[in-house]
Amino acid sequence: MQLSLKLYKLNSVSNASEAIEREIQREIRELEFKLGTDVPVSEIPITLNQTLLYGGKRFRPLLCLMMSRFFRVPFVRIAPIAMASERVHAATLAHDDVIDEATLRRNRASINARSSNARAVLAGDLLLSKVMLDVVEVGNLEIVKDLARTICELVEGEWLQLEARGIMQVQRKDLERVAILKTASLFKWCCTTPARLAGVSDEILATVRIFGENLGLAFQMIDDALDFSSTSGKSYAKDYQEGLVNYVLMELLEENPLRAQKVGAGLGKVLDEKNMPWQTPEIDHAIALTKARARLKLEAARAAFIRLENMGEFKNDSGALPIHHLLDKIVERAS
Amino acid sequence: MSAVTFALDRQSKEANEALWQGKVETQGNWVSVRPIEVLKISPGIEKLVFAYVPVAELEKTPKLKRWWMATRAYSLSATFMPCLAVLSYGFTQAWSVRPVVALLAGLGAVLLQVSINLDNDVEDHLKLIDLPGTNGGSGVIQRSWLSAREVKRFSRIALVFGVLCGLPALFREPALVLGIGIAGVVGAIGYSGPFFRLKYRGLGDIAVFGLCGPALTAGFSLAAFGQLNAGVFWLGTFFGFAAEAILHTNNLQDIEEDLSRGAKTLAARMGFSRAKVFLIFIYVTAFSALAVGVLTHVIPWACVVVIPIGFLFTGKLLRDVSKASGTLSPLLTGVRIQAAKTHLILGVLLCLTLLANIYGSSHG
Repeated sequence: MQLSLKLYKLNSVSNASEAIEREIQREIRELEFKLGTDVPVSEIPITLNQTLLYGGKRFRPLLCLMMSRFFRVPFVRIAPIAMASERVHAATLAHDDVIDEATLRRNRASINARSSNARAVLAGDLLLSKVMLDVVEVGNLEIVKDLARTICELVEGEWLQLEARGIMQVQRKDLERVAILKTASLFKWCCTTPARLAGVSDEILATVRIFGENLGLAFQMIDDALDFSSTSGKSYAKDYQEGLVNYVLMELLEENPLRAQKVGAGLGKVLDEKNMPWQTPEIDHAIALTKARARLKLEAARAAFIRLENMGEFKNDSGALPIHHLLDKIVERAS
Repeated sequence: MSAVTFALDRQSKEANEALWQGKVETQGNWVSVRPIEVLKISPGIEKLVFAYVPVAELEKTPKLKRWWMATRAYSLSATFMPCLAVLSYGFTQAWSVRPVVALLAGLGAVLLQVSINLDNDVEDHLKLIDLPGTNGGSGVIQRSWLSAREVKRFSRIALVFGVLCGLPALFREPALVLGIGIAGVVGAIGYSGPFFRLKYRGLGDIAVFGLCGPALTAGFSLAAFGQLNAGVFWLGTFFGFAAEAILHTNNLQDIEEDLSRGAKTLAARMGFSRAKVFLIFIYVTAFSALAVGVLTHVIPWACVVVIPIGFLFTGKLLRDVSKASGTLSPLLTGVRIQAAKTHLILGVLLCLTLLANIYGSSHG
């Protein structure tokens, strides 16, 4: 009897979660990420709409909407924030593609390849300005300040990453600093903004920031692990070929210090598949270690979220379920 | 990193004990563990993640090698080289040497530095500054090769033996040698230890300059030869600044962290941009001290060779530091090691030129 009751409860929880997630997906489809083209220089929004604002996983808006459910912020209030999160991400990609001299983005010609480096930079700048205008309309100065700080951190992270190119002796703390600035900062903004709109206390806000940071760090580690996957859709060991030591390579070098010379010789060069700088079991082990670290960060994110749930006023099953489900899915990805 | 991990509250007794012992008790057995990650959960709440260390991994490294690594032998040139240089210098001046006292005094200085190194490693381990994946410290505690408690104990033994080795030097110039000796012991205990905490009070830079510079060369010269002159002082100034450069490059990277912990290092007081320029000043002053010694004829002219070669060695280090955009720059990762290597190479070069001078004089 007890067992069947438990099963019933689990099923109902799962169904409830799926129903909420379907609802959130519907809301994401409702969001208009593309820019209006009825402007004097319409080529800019058209280019952006056809490149960076086309497709993508929309993970950041998803996070915004899930956190807004938890903090009971209505869709109409969070919608401009969710759109802004995706557009800021798109703007950073415009600049990234110029820095990395990329030719492809999401299996299409990248914005710089399609227009030019100068235009890609300008389009990215326009997108950031447009985001600022939209967020100002929300009418909460703290959210605007948070966003400005986030954009500063994104730039600082990219700057440091640029400086790290070609350097082999990268430490874990170096990678973590870059990941906090370059990846986790926008995750934090996606999580804290719904909390700000809900008018939470500073203590809750600080815990939300920690949740977002842990999630962002886990995301970066999984992304680095996928860099060595043949099914990710990106070229194999892209970071390495661009001269960057990522989490996986750092683990590889930590576990196999004797590999340093060979790995260093090929850093920033096109990978020679006939003479790989590492052996398959070594890189597989390094990937496993990176994923294990990601799972630790996800556990920390979950612990922070459970703490948020226990902080009283926001304890609600329907709002918390999608976040737990999302964490489960990411853990699965990191397994 | 082992796949098997467990987490404890950062502030808990169990976590503290595991950090000291490097072991935890599970089902009646003591198992080696190492801290691998600090997880932030909420403001003021952190979990410390430990990984179990397989016995086979520990057995791979012989105990003697672990202790050798713990002493950070590569860094001992900071005390060993100045002593060797003063010994060579004394020969150029035809001073009569007291070999046993000289040997013991040199050993005492090195043992005091070993004590500082070990103590510093323990403190940084307990504060979780040196987790695996960072290149601070010797790494033996972080790898669970030795426990913090063992290292602390050895640090105290090194301190006692260091002091004992210095005692014979007291007989010729008791007051002066005793003063220098007390300064050395205070520096060893107080650099990162619980009483003086010089490192955290902005006195670390001065302590390192003095103890690895003029105080060391003066103390050693008195112990070995019972002599002291301006040449010993200029050699000490050169080595003091070269050692201070190692500390300063390290502090450059920790400005934000030091400020947040209330540690007032010279770099933290100056700010990043000025601290970068100050590094150039440190090296220029070190070489100037040598130049002054040569120009005033208290140091043999042959030592002037060290200056251009020194600038050549410091070039890459200074270039990396000047290119770094901020304290977080990955370009700063290897500079501390570069500064330590520079100290070693310049010390060797200085000794060789001094010895070459003796050879030249005797065959001239």
